[in-house]
Amino acid sequence: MTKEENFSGLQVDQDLPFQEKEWTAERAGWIIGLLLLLAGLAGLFGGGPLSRAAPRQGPLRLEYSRFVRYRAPEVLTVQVDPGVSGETLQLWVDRAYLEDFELQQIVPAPDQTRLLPDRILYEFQAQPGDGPLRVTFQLRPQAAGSRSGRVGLEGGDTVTFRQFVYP
Amino acid sequence: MDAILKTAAVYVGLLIIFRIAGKRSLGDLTTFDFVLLLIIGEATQQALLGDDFSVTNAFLVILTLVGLDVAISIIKGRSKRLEKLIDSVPLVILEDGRPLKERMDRARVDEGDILAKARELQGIERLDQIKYAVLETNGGITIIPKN
Repeated sequence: MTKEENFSGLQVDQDLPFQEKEWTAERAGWIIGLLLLLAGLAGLFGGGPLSRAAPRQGPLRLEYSRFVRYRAPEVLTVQVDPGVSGETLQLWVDRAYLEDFELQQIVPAPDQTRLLPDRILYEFQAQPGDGPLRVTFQLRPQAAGSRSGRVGLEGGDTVTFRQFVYP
Repeated sequence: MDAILKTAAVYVGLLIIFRIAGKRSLGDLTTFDFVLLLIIGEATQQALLGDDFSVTNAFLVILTLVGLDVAISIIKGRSKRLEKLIDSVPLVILEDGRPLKERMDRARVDEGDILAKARELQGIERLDQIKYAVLETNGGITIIPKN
Protein backbone atom coordinates (compact mmCIF):
# COMPACT_ATOMS: atom_id res chain seq x y z
CA MET A 1 0.00 0.00 0.00
CA THR A 2 3.00 2.28 0.23
CA LYS A 3 3.50 2.41 -3.52
CA GLU A 4 2.66 5.67 -5.24
CA GLU A 5 -0.28 5.48 -7.56
CA ASN A 6 -1.01 7.36 -10.71
CA PHE A 7 -4.59 8.21 -11.40
CA SER A 8 -5.26 9.11 -15.01
CA GLY A 9 -6.45 12.67 -15.19
CA LEU A 10 -6.93 13.09 -11.46
CA GLN A 11 -4.64 15.75 -10.10
CA VAL A 12 -4.63 14.92 -6.43
CA ASP A 13 -1.81 15.52 -4.02
CA GLN A 14 -1.92 12.11 -2.41
CA ASP A 15 0.94 10.97 -0.18
CA LEU A 16 0.52 7.37 0.89
CA PRO A 17 3.71 7.02 2.96
CA PHE A 18 2.67 10.14 4.87
CA GLN A 19 -0.89 8.87 5.19
CA GLU A 20 0.46 5.63 6.60
CA LYS A 21 2.51 7.51 9.19
CA GLU A 22 -0.43 9.70 9.99
CA TRP A 23 -2.62 6.71 10.75
CA THR A 24 0.06 5.23 12.98
CA ALA A 25 0.38 8.54 14.82
CA GLU A 26 -3.39 8.74 15.07
CA ARG A 27 -3.63 5.33 16.72
CA ALA A 28 -0.75 6.20 19.05
CA GLY A 29 -2.59 9.42 19.89
CA TRP A 30 -5.73 7.46 20.76
CA ILE A 31 -3.76 5.30 23.14
CA ILE A 32 -2.17 8.34 24.75
CA GLY A 33 -5.59 9.95 25.05
CA LEU A 34 -6.97 6.81 26.67
CA LEU A 35 -4.07 6.69 29.12
CA LEU A 36 -4.62 10.35 29.98
CA LEU A 37 -8.30 9.65 30.62
CA LEU A 38 -7.46 6.68 32.84
CA ALA A 39 -4.90 8.80 34.70
CA GLY A 40 -7.57 11.47 35.07
CA LEU A 41 -10.00 8.93 36.51
CA ALA A 42 -7.36 7.70 38.92
CA GLY A 43 -6.83 11.27 40.05
CA LEU A 44 -3.52 12.26 38.52
CA PHE A 45 -5.06 15.58 37.53
CA GLY A 46 -6.76 16.12 40.83
CA GLY A 47 -9.76 14.73 42.69
CA GLY A 48 -9.25 10.96 42.81
CA PRO A 49 -7.61 8.18 44.82
CA LEU A 50 -4.14 9.07 43.49
CA SER A 51 -4.60 12.63 44.60
CA ARG A 52 -5.97 12.21 48.11
CA ALA A 53 -3.48 12.16 50.95
CA ALA A 54 -3.94 12.08 54.71
CA PRO A 55 -0.65 12.22 56.60
CA ARG A 56 -0.62 12.07 60.39
CA GLN A 57 1.79 13.56 62.85
CA GLY A 58 1.03 13.04 66.53
CA PRO A 59 -2.47 14.37 67.24
CA LEU A 60 -2.53 16.20 63.94
CA ARG A 61 -4.13 14.73 60.85
CA LEU A 62 -4.12 16.51 57.54
CA GLU A 63 -6.32 15.78 54.54
CA TYR A 64 -5.29 17.38 51.29
CA SER A 65 -5.03 16.80 47.54
CA ARG A 66 -1.65 16.18 45.98
CA PHE A 67 -2.86 17.48 42.65
CA VAL A 68 -4.96 20.58 42.37
CA ARG A 69 -5.80 22.95 39.56
CA TYR A 70 -5.15 26.61 39.05
CA ARG A 71 -7.99 28.70 40.46
CA ALA A 72 -10.20 25.68 41.15
CA PRO A 73 -11.75 25.51 44.64
CA GLU A 74 -9.84 23.18 46.88
CA VAL A 75 -10.17 22.01 50.46
CA LEU A 76 -7.55 21.37 53.12
CA THR A 77 -8.81 19.73 56.30
CA VAL A 78 -6.94 19.63 59.59
CA GLN A 79 -8.14 17.31 62.30
CA VAL A 80 -6.82 17.50 65.85
CA ASP A 81 -7.38 14.73 68.37
CA PRO A 82 -9.41 15.72 71.44
CA GLY A 83 -7.69 16.71 74.65
CA VAL A 84 -4.47 17.98 73.11
CA SER A 85 -5.04 21.62 73.19
CA GLY A 86 -6.88 22.41 76.37
CA GLU A 87 -9.43 25.13 75.91
CA THR A 88 -7.78 26.99 73.09
CA LEU A 89 -6.61 25.26 69.97
CA GLN A 90 -3.79 27.14 68.28
CA LEU A 91 -3.31 26.08 64.71
CA TRP A 92 -0.96 27.77 62.30
CA VAL A 93 -0.45 27.69 58.55
CA ASP A 94 2.72 28.79 56.87
CA ARG A 95 2.37 32.24 55.30
CA ALA A 96 4.17 31.59 52.04
CA TYR A 97 1.63 28.85 51.35
CA LEU A 98 -1.32 31.15 51.94
CA GLU A 99 0.17 33.67 49.53
CA ASP A 100 -0.11 31.12 46.70
CA PHE A 101 -3.39 29.62 47.82
CA GLU A 102 -5.96 32.34 48.28
CA LEU A 103 -7.91 31.58 51.43
CA GLN A 104 -11.65 31.82 50.81
CA GLN A 105 -13.03 30.67 54.12
CA ILE A 106 -12.18 28.78 57.28
CA VAL A 107 -14.87 26.55 58.77
CA PRO A 108 -15.38 26.93 61.69
CA ALA A 109 -14.31 30.57 61.73
CA PRO A 110 -11.37 31.10 64.11
CA ASP A 111 -12.04 33.19 67.20
CA GLN A 112 -8.80 35.00 66.69
CA THR A 113 -6.20 35.35 63.97
CA ARG A 114 -2.67 36.40 64.70
CA LEU A 115 0.03 37.34 62.29
CA LEU A 116 3.47 35.91 63.02
CA PRO A 117 6.53 36.63 60.88
CA ASP A 118 6.42 33.39 58.90
CA ARG A 119 2.98 32.02 59.61
CA ILE A 120 -0.58 32.84 60.49
CA LEU A 121 -1.96 31.57 63.76
CA TYR A 122 -5.63 30.69 64.17
CA GLU A 123 -7.17 30.27 67.59
CA PHE A 124 -10.29 28.21 68.22
CA GLN A 125 -12.17 27.86 71.50
CA ALA A 126 -12.65 24.13 72.01
CA GLN A 127 -15.26 22.68 74.35
CA PRO A 128 -13.64 20.14 76.66
CA GLY A 129 -14.79 16.58 76.10
CA ASP A 130 -15.68 17.13 72.46
CA GLY A 131 -14.60 14.79 69.69
CA PRO A 132 -11.73 15.65 67.39
CA LEU A 133 -11.77 19.18 66.10
CA ARG A 134 -11.91 19.52 62.35
CA VAL A 135 -10.97 22.73 60.65
CA THR A 136 -11.55 23.15 56.93
CA PHE A 137 -9.64 25.64 54.83
CA GLN A 138 -11.31 26.50 51.54
CA LEU A 139 -8.63 27.59 49.13
CA ARG A 140 -8.12 28.68 45.54
CA PRO A 141 -4.62 28.18 44.11
CA GLN A 142 -3.31 31.37 42.55
CA ALA A 143 -0.07 30.04 41.09
CA ALA A 144 0.75 26.95 39.04
CA GLY A 145 3.56 24.53 39.77
CA SER A 146 4.81 22.57 42.72
CA ARG A 147 4.12 24.20 46.07
CA SER A 148 4.78 23.10 49.61
CA GLY A 149 3.02 24.09 52.79
CA ARG A 150 3.25 23.55 56.51
CA VAL A 151 0.54 23.23 59.10
CA GLY A 152 1.16 22.82 62.80
CA LEU A 153 0.02 23.17 66.36
CA GLU A 154 1.59 26.09 68.20
CA GLY A 155 4.48 24.60 70.17
CA GLY A 156 3.63 21.11 68.93
CA ASP A 157 3.61 18.87 65.90
CA THR A 158 4.04 20.03 62.33
CA VAL A 159 3.00 18.46 59.03
CA THR A 160 4.74 19.44 55.82
CA PHE A 161 2.99 18.64 52.57
CA ARG A 162 3.50 19.19 48.89
CA GLN A 163 0.92 19.98 46.24
CA PHE A 164 1.15 20.28 42.50
CA VAL A 165 -1.00 22.93 40.90
CA TYR A 166 -1.90 22.25 37.25
CA PRO A 167 -2.16 25.39 35.13
CA MET B 1 0.98 38.02 29.09
CA ASP B 2 -0.97 35.27 30.76
CA ALA B 3 -3.86 35.55 28.32
CA ILE B 4 -1.61 35.26 25.26
CA LEU B 5 0.31 32.24 26.55
CA LYS B 6 -2.88 30.53 27.67
CA THR B 7 -4.52 31.12 24.31
CA ALA B 8 -1.48 29.81 22.44
CA ALA B 9 -1.48 26.69 24.64
CA VAL B 10 -5.17 26.11 24.01
CA TYR B 11 -4.72 26.63 20.25
CA VAL B 12 -1.89 24.11 20.04
CA GLY B 13 -3.72 21.67 22.33
CA LEU B 14 -6.88 21.78 20.23
CA LEU B 15 -4.86 21.41 17.04
CA ILE B 16 -3.24 18.24 18.39
CA ILE B 17 -6.49 16.78 19.72
CA PHE B 18 -8.41 17.30 16.50
CA ARG B 19 -5.49 16.07 14.42
CA ILE B 20 -5.40 12.87 16.47
CA ALA B 21 -9.16 12.44 16.29
CA GLY B 22 -8.76 12.20 12.52
CA LYS B 23 -10.17 14.25 9.68
CA ARG B 24 -13.45 12.41 9.58
CA SER B 25 -14.31 13.54 13.12
CA LEU B 26 -15.69 16.93 12.22
CA GLY B 27 -16.07 16.57 8.45
CA ASP B 28 -19.77 16.58 7.49
CA LEU B 29 -21.23 17.57 10.84
CA THR B 30 -24.08 15.49 12.15
CA THR B 31 -26.48 17.04 14.62
CA PHE B 32 -24.63 15.50 17.50
CA ASP B 33 -21.23 16.64 16.18
CA PHE B 34 -22.65 20.13 16.17
CA VAL B 35 -23.77 19.88 19.79
CA LEU B 36 -20.37 18.45 20.69
CA LEU B 37 -18.69 21.39 19.01
CA LEU B 38 -20.75 23.81 21.06
CA ILE B 39 -19.82 22.07 24.31
CA ILE B 40 -16.14 22.01 23.33
CA GLY B 41 -16.38 25.73 22.60
CA GLU B 42 -17.95 26.38 25.97
CA ALA B 43 -15.31 24.34 27.84
CA THR B 44 -12.52 26.14 25.98
CA GLN B 45 -13.99 29.55 26.60
CA GLN B 46 -13.87 29.10 30.36
CA ALA B 47 -10.20 28.16 30.26
CA LEU B 48 -9.37 31.06 27.95
CA LEU B 49 -11.15 33.82 29.78
CA GLY B 50 -11.13 32.52 33.35
CA ASP B 51 -12.69 35.15 35.54
CA ASP B 52 -11.22 38.07 33.67
CA PHE B 53 -14.14 39.52 31.76
CA SER B 54 -12.41 42.65 30.56
CA VAL B 55 -12.57 43.81 26.97
CA THR B 56 -8.76 43.99 26.95
CA ASN B 57 -8.52 40.31 27.80
CA ALA B 58 -11.10 39.38 25.17
CA PHE B 59 -9.24 41.28 22.47
CA LEU B 60 -5.89 39.85 23.50
CA VAL B 61 -7.34 36.35 23.21
CA ILE B 62 -8.95 37.07 19.85
CA LEU B 63 -5.81 38.73 18.52
CA THR B 64 -3.70 35.76 19.61
CA LEU B 65 -6.07 33.28 17.94
CA VAL B 66 -6.30 35.20 14.68
CA GLY B 67 -2.55 35.89 14.75
CA LEU B 68 -1.74 32.20 15.19
CA ASP B 69 -4.12 31.33 12.40
CA VAL B 70 -2.45 33.79 10.03
CA ALA B 71 1.02 32.66 11.11
CA ILE B 72 0.14 29.02 10.50
CA SER B 73 -1.33 29.75 7.07
CA ILE B 74 1.89 31.57 6.13
CA ILE B 75 3.98 28.66 7.38
CA LYS B 76 1.82 26.23 5.44
CA GLY B 77 2.36 28.23 2.28
CA ARG B 78 6.12 28.04 2.70
CA SER B 79 6.58 24.45 3.77
CA LYS B 80 4.84 21.53 2.14
CA ARG B 81 5.93 19.26 4.97
CA LEU B 82 4.34 21.40 7.65
CA GLU B 83 1.21 21.79 5.58
CA LYS B 84 0.85 18.02 5.48
CA LEU B 85 1.56 17.81 9.19
CA ILE B 86 -1.12 20.34 10.06
CA ASP B 87 -3.73 19.68 7.38
CA SER B 88 -3.06 16.06 6.40
CA VAL B 89 -3.28 14.88 2.78
CA PRO B 90 -6.18 13.91 0.50
CA LEU B 91 -6.76 10.23 -0.13
CA VAL B 92 -8.38 8.43 -3.04
CA ILE B 93 -10.84 5.98 -1.52
CA LEU B 94 -12.62 4.72 -4.63
CA GLU B 95 -11.29 4.07 -8.11
CA ASP B 96 -13.36 3.11 -11.14
CA GLY B 97 -16.36 2.07 -9.11
CA ARG B 98 -14.17 -0.12 -6.94
CA PRO B 99 -13.96 0.95 -3.26
CA LEU B 100 -10.44 0.75 -1.78
CA LYS B 101 -11.56 -1.18 1.25
CA GLU B 102 -8.47 -1.17 3.42
CA ARG B 103 -8.00 2.58 3.23
CA MET B 104 -11.65 3.24 3.78
CA ASP B 105 -11.56 1.22 6.97
CA ARG B 106 -8.52 3.00 8.27
CA ALA B 107 -9.93 6.39 7.38
CA ARG B 108 -13.30 5.40 8.89
CA VAL B 109 -15.36 5.90 5.75
CA ASP B 110 -17.83 3.37 4.42
CA GLU B 111 -19.61 2.87 1.11
CA GLY B 112 -22.72 4.50 2.51
CA ASP B 113 -20.80 7.73 3.09
CA ILE B 114 -19.51 7.70 -0.48
CA LEU B 115 -22.94 6.95 -1.92
CA ALA B 116 -24.56 9.67 0.16
CA LYS B 117 -22.04 12.21 -1.08
CA ALA B 118 -22.42 10.94 -4.66
CA ARG B 119 -26.18 11.44 -4.50
CA GLU B 120 -25.83 14.82 -2.88
CA LEU B 121 -23.16 16.24 -5.19
CA GLN B 122 -23.71 14.50 -8.52
CA GLY B 123 -27.07 12.78 -8.41
CA ILE B 124 -25.29 9.43 -8.85
CA GLU B 125 -27.21 6.22 -8.16
CA ARG B 126 -24.58 3.48 -7.92
CA LEU B 127 -20.92 3.07 -6.96
CA ASP B 128 -19.98 1.88 -10.45
CA GLN B 129 -20.93 5.26 -11.86
CA ILE B 130 -18.16 6.88 -9.85
CA LYS B 131 -14.69 7.28 -11.31
CA TYR B 132 -12.98 8.57 -8.19
CA ALA B 133 -14.01 9.39 -4.67
CA VAL B 134 -11.52 11.42 -2.67
CA LEU B 135 -11.40 11.97 1.07
CA GLU B 136 -10.29 15.57 1.28
CA THR B 137 -8.16 17.14 4.00
CA ASN B 138 -11.18 18.83 5.56
CA GLY B 139 -12.81 15.43 6.11
CA GLY B 140 -15.34 15.82 3.31
CA ILE B 141 -15.70 13.40 0.39
CA THR B 142 -15.63 14.61 -3.20
CA ILE B 143 -16.91 12.60 -6.14
CA ILE B 144 -15.78 12.49 -9.76
CA PRO B 145 -18.38 10.72 -11.93
CA LYS B 146 -17.62 8.55 -14.93
CA ASN B 147 -18.44 10.14 -18.24
